[in-house]
Amino acid sequence: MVDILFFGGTIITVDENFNQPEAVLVRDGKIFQVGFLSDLDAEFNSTGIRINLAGRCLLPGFIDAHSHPLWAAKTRGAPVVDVRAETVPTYAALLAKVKRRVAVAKPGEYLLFFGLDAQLHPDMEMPTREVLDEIAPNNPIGIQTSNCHALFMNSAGFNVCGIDEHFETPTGSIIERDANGRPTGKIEEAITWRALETFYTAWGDDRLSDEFKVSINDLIQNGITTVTEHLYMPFYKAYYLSALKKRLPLPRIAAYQQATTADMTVENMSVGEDRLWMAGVKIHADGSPFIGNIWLTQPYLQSEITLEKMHLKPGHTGSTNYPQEYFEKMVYTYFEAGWQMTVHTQGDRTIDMVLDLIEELLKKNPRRDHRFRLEHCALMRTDQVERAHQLGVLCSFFINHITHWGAPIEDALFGPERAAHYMPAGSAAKEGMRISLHADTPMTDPSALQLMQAATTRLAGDGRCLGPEECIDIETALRSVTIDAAYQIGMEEKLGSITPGKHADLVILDTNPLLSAPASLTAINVEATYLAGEQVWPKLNVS
Amino acid sequence: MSVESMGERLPIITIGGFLGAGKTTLVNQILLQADGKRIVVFVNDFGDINIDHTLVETVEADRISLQNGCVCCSLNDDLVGSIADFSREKNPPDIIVIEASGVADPRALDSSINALESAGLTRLDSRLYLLDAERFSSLAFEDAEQIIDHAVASDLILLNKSDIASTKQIDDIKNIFCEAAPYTKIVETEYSDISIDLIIGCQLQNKKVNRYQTPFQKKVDHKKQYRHWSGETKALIDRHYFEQFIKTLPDVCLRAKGLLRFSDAPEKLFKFDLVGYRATLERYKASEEQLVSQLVVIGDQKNLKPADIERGFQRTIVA
Repeated sequence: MVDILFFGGTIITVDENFNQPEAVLVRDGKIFQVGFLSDLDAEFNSTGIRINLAGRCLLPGFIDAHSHPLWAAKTRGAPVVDVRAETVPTYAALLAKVKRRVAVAKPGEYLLFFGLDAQLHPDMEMPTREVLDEIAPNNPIGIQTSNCHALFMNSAGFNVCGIDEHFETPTGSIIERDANGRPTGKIEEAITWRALETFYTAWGDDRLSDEFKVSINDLIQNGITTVTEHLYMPFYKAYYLSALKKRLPLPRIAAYQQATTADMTVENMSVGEDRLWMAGVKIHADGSPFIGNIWLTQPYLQSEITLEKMHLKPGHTGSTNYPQEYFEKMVYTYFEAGWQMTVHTQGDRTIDMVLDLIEELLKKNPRRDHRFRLEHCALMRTDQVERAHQLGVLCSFFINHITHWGAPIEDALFGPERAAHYMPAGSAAKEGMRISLHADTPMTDPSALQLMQAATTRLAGDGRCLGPEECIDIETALRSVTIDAAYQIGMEEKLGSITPGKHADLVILDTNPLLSAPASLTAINVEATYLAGEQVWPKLNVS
Repeated sequence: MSVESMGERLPIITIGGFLGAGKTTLVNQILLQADGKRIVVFVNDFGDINIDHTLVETVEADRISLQNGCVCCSLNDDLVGSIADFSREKNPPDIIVIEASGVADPRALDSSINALESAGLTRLDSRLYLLDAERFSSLAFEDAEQIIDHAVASDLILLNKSDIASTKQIDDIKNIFCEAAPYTKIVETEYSDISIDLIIGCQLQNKKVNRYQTPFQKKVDHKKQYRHWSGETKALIDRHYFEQFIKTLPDVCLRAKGLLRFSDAPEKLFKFDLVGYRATLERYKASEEQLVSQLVVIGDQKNLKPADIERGFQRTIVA
């Protein structure tokens, strides 16, 4: 019996009444009691640890409802070179960096770069196969876009991935080709992630294990104790098991297996005491607003970025990833099998299509507690928010789009009216929906405080506010990264609040976020993280 | 970006750079040249700061106060709280300097600085990055790239130890940064020896109008390798022409500062700041009535052509 007694600071339980008790007693990795210090002191086993919060703030560990921790290690970890606009400001600087890397490459070495950005690299051009062949004649090279959905490769890259003029484009993917069918450099959607695996495999397992450690630490240092793996593939499991075996502080993982066909076997797994489990199935209904492959009722703006950088035609309204029937069959199959569904939807027309389908599914096969999730929801209209809520559908918002790409979203892609309701978290919260927020790591860095700041201020990088009426309050934001995120992954009985019987996943902050100004939330420091009652960060005791 | 603010916000300067690049020497330089300004510096380890003990007034666990009013603090977790306290003092400091850790990404300070800024307390004045010109060429790819990535997020790169680096080493570095850091200016320095004017910008004096002054006066000041140009006028400035004029400045200067009255809002005084390629223009409330518009520009001997600047500035003046 191992006891930990927390006292001497603010304790925000995030339970129904947002109680702020005097003390919390943790026993054997679970919340044992919450209440007055004198009562808990009487129960406390004196061999345990007493932690005086000394005015700091104890909260439930954060939950990121849509993330890719293992995939983040693959996509962003060394030797992948970071070329995101926040690091490498222009396309010219990006190409210069690629050339410097190629200059020190061994012959045949696989080279990947992450972060090409049509919205944020102001002089962006297409790094076509020809351009990249000239820079790197002897190395397979890939440049992935910051939105993760597209990849540019040279000839050596296409060769090692086995993609040529005879290669058939899989349903749901795009391979740009010339008149003879020869790939010209750019590929999009699921084929991107498949091609990237060729690079990751070439770098070997040791590399991935090392980088996975980095990815795990990023989460834990930010107080995140539960994440989803939102593109889970069965071969991922070995890496999680290995991390657990090495006793790495792996956050709890809710896996959503990626479906690209209707005949996939969903792995029904459950590892340890709620450490890794299959939560449901993820399907991409459409793609990314930043490359244009989302389905809209109103076209993109005509701007330099849409016409010359993204190469969209005037009046472009995009499309879905899969033919509608193909998509509906997938959703139908896994929904009927009883899985929770999470569907990637960005365009409003895609959302219409998915809501129609859900309505039909529920008519045929009523299911009271289905918790069907829509992911990201960039251009969801307020009427759709209402309809979704009536159907029992839950939204998880990729709110960091606003902080990272807010200015081009308004000025170059969708205009002020759509920007004002972009990622409509405020409308959803007003409707009474239990929403969640996510960083979609590796696309943006994991931090629940950053998500809360983004959703409560909606401030873009240049200081403008995108739709003040869609801001949510700090309390709602806190729920959306704790108890309501737990609800969205079906774990509200075990996670997400400081309630007796729940896992003792906890975080200590140096400042009470409920008393902070929204714009100051990211200045709050995460001082310690506890997973199942064990302090996993920092390594030293805080008491 | 233009923001409305009453009174002047406390300017913050950050200093980044790899271990051994000369950050501590720069902090010493800044403290030596304080010249009546009250400067507060936050450093990782103030054991390294060379402070003449005769100048020290008090020593506390995490702060050394100097007789000239400057204060040296250790960088702690509560940077936001410490700076907020300073900014609310009855006689707040003139400048806050933060020396970022030797290996950490200087952008790690961003959230603290943004929080202070959004609370209206401070203004990010300039981000400096020190680079060891002599050592850079011998670094491994990953280390060199890390330095490039960090330096890109600054306004001025101080190419330090330029006295012991070869001309080729310096040219190579300039070529790399010319592409890698298109929004950052490079300055060569020795022993982090740099005019404080360049780092904190020139002091602008509040001046009452002298009825006998000509509408436009200028003075050119040669100082070390830097050249100053300053001008003032009691006529009003055309905002549109001024915006066009300042777009030409980053190519010829390193810093500029001004207090301006525009013809579209003659009752308001604005403060203009330019460092590298980053410019800010914000409402300014002068302690005394300030009717003259002033502009000070600092650059190196080679690129700053006072006559050109004067011509440019003249054009912004409403006849």
